[in-house]
Amino acid sequence: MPLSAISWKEKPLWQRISESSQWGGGGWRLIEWEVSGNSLVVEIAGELDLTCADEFRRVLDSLIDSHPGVARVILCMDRVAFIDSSGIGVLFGRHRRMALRGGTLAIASPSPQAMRALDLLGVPSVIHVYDTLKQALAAEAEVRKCTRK
Amino acid sequence: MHAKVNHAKVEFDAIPGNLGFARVAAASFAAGLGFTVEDLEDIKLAVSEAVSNCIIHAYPGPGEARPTVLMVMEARESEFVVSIEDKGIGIADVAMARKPGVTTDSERLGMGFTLMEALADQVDVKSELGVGTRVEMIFSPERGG
Repeated sequence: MPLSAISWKEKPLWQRISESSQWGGGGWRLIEWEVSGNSLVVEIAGELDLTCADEFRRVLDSLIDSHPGVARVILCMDRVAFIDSSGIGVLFGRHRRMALRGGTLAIASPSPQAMRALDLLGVPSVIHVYDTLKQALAAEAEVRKCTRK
Repeated sequence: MHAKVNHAKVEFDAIPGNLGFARVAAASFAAGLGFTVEDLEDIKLAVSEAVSNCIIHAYPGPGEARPTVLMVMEARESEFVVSIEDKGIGIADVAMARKPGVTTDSERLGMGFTLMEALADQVDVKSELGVGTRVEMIFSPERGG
């Protein structure tokens, strides 16, 4: 499910970094993001390793901090061609960060390469991984429905 | 012992910018040895972990010599052998370092060796304090995942 076009009303850190070079200074890039319901959906692409782990973390933290109202961050990883333990460490860290404010981090539509690394490091036992973004958003809507009851 | 039928050796600076080069070089060398695309992705991941360890841990402070990583790739009759070697500070306790979750950096997972062991058929680590560390990984196309 493609993310809809969004207007860039402000230029916080994550956007300045993303626009500073084609691949965000490393092997990855932030494609786009949008808020859907209580979720912040972030689409990323490229290669997530030691080269860009610090920047990846800073950009995600900046996005998370600039959206204090969202309960969940969904990372769309279908265009992530490579991720190693440096990149996965950033995911665990953002999961903890979201948990500290009562939220969660989820992963949607990981590429086969990304899923292989996620499986090997036991990520699905800690972080929800959905086959598609649609499923991830539906799960979030279900949670909200149950919460209202 | 399998006979060596081909080999390549590359030495590069121990900097993060060379990670992508290292894993692509290893996968390219192994590409003609009967591995599947999924196997080659595993080789890339394992090499990335080994080289990352050199960059993060082997050269923690400014030294006189230029920090480098030596990667040697060998094609044997039925396997691909890659060794990643640094001339850094060495590992005091290799057995401890290979345990899951052991790291000197709170921002890291400490799962590099665990991943290498999950991905390769065999992982051998030799290290000497003040001399350096050599990690050798063996991959076989017949390992069946």
